[in-house]
Amino acid sequence: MKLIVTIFILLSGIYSLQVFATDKKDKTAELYEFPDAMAQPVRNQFMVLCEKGRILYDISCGKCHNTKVNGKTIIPDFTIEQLGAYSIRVANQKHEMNVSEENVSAEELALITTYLTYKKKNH
Amino acid sequence: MKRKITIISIIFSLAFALLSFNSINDKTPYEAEYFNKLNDLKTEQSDLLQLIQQSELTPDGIAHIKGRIQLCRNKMKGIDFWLRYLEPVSYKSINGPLPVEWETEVFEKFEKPYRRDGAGLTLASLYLDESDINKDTLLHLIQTSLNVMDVYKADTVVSHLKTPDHFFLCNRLYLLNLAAIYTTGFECPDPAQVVPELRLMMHEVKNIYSIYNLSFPDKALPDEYLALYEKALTFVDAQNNDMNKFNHYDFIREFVNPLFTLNQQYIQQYHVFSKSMVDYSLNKNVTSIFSKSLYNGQNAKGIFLRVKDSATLAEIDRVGHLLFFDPILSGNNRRSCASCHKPEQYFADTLGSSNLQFNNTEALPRNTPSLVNAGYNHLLMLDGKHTSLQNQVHDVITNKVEMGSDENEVLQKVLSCKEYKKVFTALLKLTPQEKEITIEHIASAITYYYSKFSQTQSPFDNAMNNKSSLSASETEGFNLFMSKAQCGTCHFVPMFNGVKPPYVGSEFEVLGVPADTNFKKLSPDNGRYVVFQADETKNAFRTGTIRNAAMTAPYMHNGVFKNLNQVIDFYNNGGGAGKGLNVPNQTLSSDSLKLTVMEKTKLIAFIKTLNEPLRPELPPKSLPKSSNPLLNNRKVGGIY
Repeated sequence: MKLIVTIFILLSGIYSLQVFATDKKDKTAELYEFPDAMAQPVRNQFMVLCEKGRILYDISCGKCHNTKVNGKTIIPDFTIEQLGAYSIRVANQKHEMNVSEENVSAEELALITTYLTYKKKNH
Repeated sequence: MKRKITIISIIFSLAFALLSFNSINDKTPYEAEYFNKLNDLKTEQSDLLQLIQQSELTPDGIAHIKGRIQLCRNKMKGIDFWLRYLEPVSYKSINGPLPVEWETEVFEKFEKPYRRDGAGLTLASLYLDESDINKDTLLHLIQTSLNVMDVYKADTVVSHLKTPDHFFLCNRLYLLNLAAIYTTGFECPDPAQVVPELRLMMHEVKNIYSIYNLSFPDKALPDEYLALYEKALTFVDAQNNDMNKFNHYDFIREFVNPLFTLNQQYIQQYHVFSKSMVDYSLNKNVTSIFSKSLYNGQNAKGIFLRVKDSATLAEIDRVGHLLFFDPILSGNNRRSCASCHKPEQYFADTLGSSNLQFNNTEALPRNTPSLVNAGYNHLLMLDGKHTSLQNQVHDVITNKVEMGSDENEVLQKVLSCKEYKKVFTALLKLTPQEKEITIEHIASAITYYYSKFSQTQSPFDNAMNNKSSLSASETEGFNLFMSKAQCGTCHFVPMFNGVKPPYVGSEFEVLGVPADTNFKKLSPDNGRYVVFQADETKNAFRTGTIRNAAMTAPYMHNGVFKNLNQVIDFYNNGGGAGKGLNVPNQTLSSDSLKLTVMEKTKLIAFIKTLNEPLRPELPPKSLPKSSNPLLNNRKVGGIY
């Protein structure tokens, strides 16, 4: 009996892992809005960059910018003007300190802006 | 009772509204001074235009116009303190040093170089010295400078004047320029005017200081600063009008740098913060111009930027050291970084001739540059091809004529070594944006490792920081460097490379370097033109640093000169054009500098004070073992 239960638990574990994995893949695509004209291979490349940007955003920006509504984390929509790449560094006093070259490299900043540009809007 | 309260509150709110209305409309004395000076300059520019329209371009007429340009320059110098900081792009139209500049400033480094057309007073003055001149071109140069003046009245610029922050940042740039360009003749066409203009400007700035203190008593410039500034004025007033006799050494050491130290203190104390791209790379915490942290050039940590823990950094350094000497990074497992960047030769190759290609027979076209202080450039390589140190590593590894490997092959070989795999697997957790170990991890470890050799201070730095002093001939050598020899107009204080205040871009110059010392023909290397095609970029190369120059022979992009004497002679003779080569776009004057033998000796004595004493760096005793036995007979540092 014990053995059957263990096998059952293990199997259900594997199943849920699989579901989770496919779920995750779909979810990644759902996070972004790309222009219709963007071809799928280009889209895939941008998705890779966006995913890197998303993780960097979480580390460097999320703490101040994200809000919680009913327990759900809301990542704000930024305007094109706000995402003016290098001007982000001097946008305000907090940025001058936290988004300095010692904390976020130029390459990372470019990834973060790419992510925020294609991130699905909150409406 | 209720009515009373209502009436009182109405009165109060009216009074408040009136007060705030007042404060919007009324200019502080500080703002009024700014506008007055701006208008003075505008009037002078308009008068100058009128004079040119009425004048004939005869020798007399030209002399008259030149005199008027000088009056206009004087007005400009009175307001330079603000103009240069508040709107640096427009400033290039008022007093640009070159007709056309292709700029890639650090914040634009992912973009194509921008064309910036220079105009204004310096170019107009230089134009008058040319043989075939016309009025329209001259008028255009001045009209352009007048046209941009309205930019300085725009809200986006003027709003800065409402708060003290910009003042300390303007002042910082002003002090950095006092050290780097105001005394060298950069942007000043007439050498005889360099010291008079400096004097005038310094007195005008004193005036700005007192009016600032009137308007912002809460964040005033303290007496300690003003007293030292007064001493600096006395010093400059007592100096000879001849810039070649100006004591640059004492001026920077006794006054400019201590004033900078104080200003940095106030920036901290008053919590000054910047809204300007101009301050992009300057470090707020540094206390001396002659600190290796004055500005941030390159990110040495690369992908490991966020790692701050010293034990982990030591581990990255250790693995970087191993990789630097490991020929596993090359296609044939026989070449390492150290093959060309030899630690005992300041991470350069002082033999020049041994810059072998991957095929082990032919020579590489360019001289190996030192890695020491490489990170103080915003664009890397002599042609500015790369925007990051890591890109450069990546390129050398995969370059067919250099290390001849490819990305996947290198990764696979490196990770076949247990030791590398263990370290990089642990480090991967610190770079969550990357799912697996990449060549970026390898390149970042290498750049982090070698960048620590750029942190050493030279005897010159120690002297400037008042920790020691230089000999008389070394001091005179520095003064020559900054004046008669004209070195300081391209090799800027304090890094003595092509990065000038506010340290956001790298400069390129066309010198007319010959193919060999016979000066029969120009070096065939197109330089910057290979990366970006324009008339101005043909044969242009990024200005290198003078630091450690005495230790890093041979010289120039192709290593054509074997010693410093040859290099100084080359400049003394007016570069390639001075030697009769056809270099239509040479940015170096083809006139002789007329340096004496004694002066050349002193220059070299100064250059030697820029040698940074590096601690000896030993190769690792052994290299990590690979699971592929064929890789395990590789030699530390490679074979060639």
